[in-house]
Amino acid sequence: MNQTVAFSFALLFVSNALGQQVSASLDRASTSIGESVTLSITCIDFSPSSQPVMPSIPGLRFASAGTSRQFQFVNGKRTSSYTFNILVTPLKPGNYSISPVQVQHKTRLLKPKPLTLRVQPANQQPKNDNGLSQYAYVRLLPSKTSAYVGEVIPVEIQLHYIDGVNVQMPELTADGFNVAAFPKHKQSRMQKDNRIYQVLTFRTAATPLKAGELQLGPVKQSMVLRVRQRKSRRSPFNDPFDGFFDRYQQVPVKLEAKAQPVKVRPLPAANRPAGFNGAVGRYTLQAKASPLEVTVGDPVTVSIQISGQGAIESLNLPKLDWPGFKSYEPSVTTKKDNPLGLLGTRMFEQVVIPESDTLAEVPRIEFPYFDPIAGRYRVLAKGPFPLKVNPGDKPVAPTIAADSVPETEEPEPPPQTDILTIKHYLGSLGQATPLVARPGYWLLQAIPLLLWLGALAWRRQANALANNPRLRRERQVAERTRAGLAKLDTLAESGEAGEFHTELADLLREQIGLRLDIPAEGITGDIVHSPAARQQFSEDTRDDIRKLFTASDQASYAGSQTTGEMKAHLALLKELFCALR
Amino acid sequence: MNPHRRPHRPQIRLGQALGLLAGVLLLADSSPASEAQFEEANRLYETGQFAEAAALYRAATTNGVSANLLFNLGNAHFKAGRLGQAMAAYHQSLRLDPRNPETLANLRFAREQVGIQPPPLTLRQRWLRRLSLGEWTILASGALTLLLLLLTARQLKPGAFAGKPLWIRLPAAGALATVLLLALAAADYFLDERAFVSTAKAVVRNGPLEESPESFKAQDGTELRVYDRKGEFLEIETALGQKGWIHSGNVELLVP
Repeated sequence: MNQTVAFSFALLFVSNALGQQVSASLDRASTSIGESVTLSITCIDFSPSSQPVMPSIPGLRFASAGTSRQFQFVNGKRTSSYTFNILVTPLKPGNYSISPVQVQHKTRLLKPKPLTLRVQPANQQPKNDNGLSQYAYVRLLPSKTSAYVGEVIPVEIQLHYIDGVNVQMPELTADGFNVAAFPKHKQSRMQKDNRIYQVLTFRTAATPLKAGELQLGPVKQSMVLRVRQRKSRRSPFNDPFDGFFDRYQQVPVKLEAKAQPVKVRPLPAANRPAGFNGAVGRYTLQAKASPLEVTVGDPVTVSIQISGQGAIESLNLPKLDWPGFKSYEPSVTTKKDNPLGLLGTRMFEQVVIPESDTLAEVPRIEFPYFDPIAGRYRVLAKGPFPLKVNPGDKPVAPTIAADSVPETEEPEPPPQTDILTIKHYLGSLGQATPLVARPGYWLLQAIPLLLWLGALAWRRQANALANNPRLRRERQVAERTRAGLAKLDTLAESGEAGEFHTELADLLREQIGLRLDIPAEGITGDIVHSPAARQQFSEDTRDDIRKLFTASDQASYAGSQTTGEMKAHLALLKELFCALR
Repeated sequence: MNPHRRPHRPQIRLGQALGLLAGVLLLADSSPASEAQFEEANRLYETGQFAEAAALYRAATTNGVSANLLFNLGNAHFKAGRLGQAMAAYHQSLRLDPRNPETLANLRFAREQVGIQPPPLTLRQRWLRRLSLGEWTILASGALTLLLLLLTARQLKPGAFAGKPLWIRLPAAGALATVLLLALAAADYFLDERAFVSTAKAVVRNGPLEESPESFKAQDGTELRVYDRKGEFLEIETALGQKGWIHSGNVELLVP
């Protein structure tokens, strides 16, 4: 794997005997001519005697961009770091190795490991049709353009923008590749043509799944640009505040970087070792077996560690089918040394059980893989491990240790020699869809909710009525009037003049009392002379009131009235009520 | 005619309608066709025609499922030598009736035949799977309905609840807790992406293509956790941490 891949995991340390360290990193692995990147040289637990000595590299220009200092207290231990930021501006395309940077500490010179910077020609900046490319553009930068099937290709996607918000994750089209999820992006700044760009760097890994001329990309990325609005000229008629508070326009854009061709070669069929299971990368192998003296039937644990660069998480061990040993499936754990999982260690714990005391060794462990840099297969091997197996009377069934808590959904099993037989009762058939996913369930569940909401509304209305005596009286009088008019109809039909006029006078008092907001009791025909009645009732209304009260008084003294007269009074009363409303 | 009965009629009709709605929407029905298929499948099973019995049990599931039907389907698969499909059916039965001792015993026995541990369950999963999702739903619905009825009663008769805040607070806490547990149980149910190897030696590859190199072989009945799908391939991991891609034709999914 080339140095660019190594660069992707860029924190490289050189330690001295006293624990002081110096490290160097670049904020991006790839850039274009004229686009600066920041080189950070960090001195941990010491202050350098002078500025770091930068190498003279034709095609690169170095300029100081300031220093920063940090202190940390962790568990009572104090750590300090002193960082030099250096702006590196490339002048020519190519792959540069930034080496050797030297930092002076007292009388010694400390050197971090070299870094690699890939510089593209300046004309590779994509042009957008909408002319916004000066404000933002996206780049797709695979670390290589040719690879083997199964070889991991680190990929950088760089979004450059001057000002913007709502940046979405890049959408990478990669047919024929298996693409890892994007871990958290890195943010940095870059200067180009007197403009400062924000740079978001997204890193991922693409693993080609088939041979041929594949296309990695295009990559699309959406964001909202903030573009400064420019007025053509100032005019005294323009709003003086126009453009002062709202000088930026938000422009949603979908940026795109074109696809990059990747030539994918098949793994060679020649010299393919037995047991090769598709591992591609560069690895080392560690293995041990313990205990090395056992009784027949006792387990021996073989611990195997494969470390290196490649698709660590997909590494699997070849099946260890050793004659004379009973083997179980290995338990596997993975330790990733970078977010993409391209560096790390895969650990296998394999339990094997010697079935005979004639066995003298745990056989040799082999791990074949394809080295894409060398372009050939390699086989890592450890062992064999000498083993002493003592004869045993009764082999003891081994137990496999599990790292995690075993499933305990069942109670302690009783001895069972076969499955329990079928059931002869079908049981209640239900839909395969669970209750909670059926619309009918939610419909029914809404009923008590609606009941509660209805009760809540009713209670609010009742409270409003209780707190408003005027409204309450209006309702009571309306109810009384409705019932009274019906009663008057009946009384008029039956010719009960005395009771008719008593009821009529009562209804009249209730209505007048409500309208004048006075108690109904004691209201007589003289009420029409009161100032309130003069103010609120018209002359005709007052006449009608007086007429009805007079008729009522006459009926109580004179006694009899005809049904026709009573109906006429009732009609007058209804007209009066309409007028009063 | 008694005039006092008149106002009650609409209420009775409303109650009847609600009951009917509940019955139609929620309650189980019993299909004679399924019953007949079930009986016939049982007969085939008892005469040793396990594969045919399994096919008939499977056909009966199209009209509806029951824990017993899936249990028998698991038994028929097991007897036909299809461990992965048997385990999937037992698991599906347990999703309906999670504490059924016979299903648990048969699942345990099937696992012993496979000889590979299943992926471990978290404490939360073990706890939530003590009840089926239907039981969690009824529990949460009951608690929520009780709370809403009490709230309704409080609006109608505020005096009855005066000085008794716990009459509302306790049911509210119960409803909140059960609804939360229902949400967790539903997430566990619907996001349960498990599969069981259903062929004797299923090839697990490094990538989702037939040309991808073989990574390892998984035996029938191996329980897998499914992470992704690409075309006809599933990205899986075994309980022991082995990862790879397996053709979907080689596995029985817990949730097809």
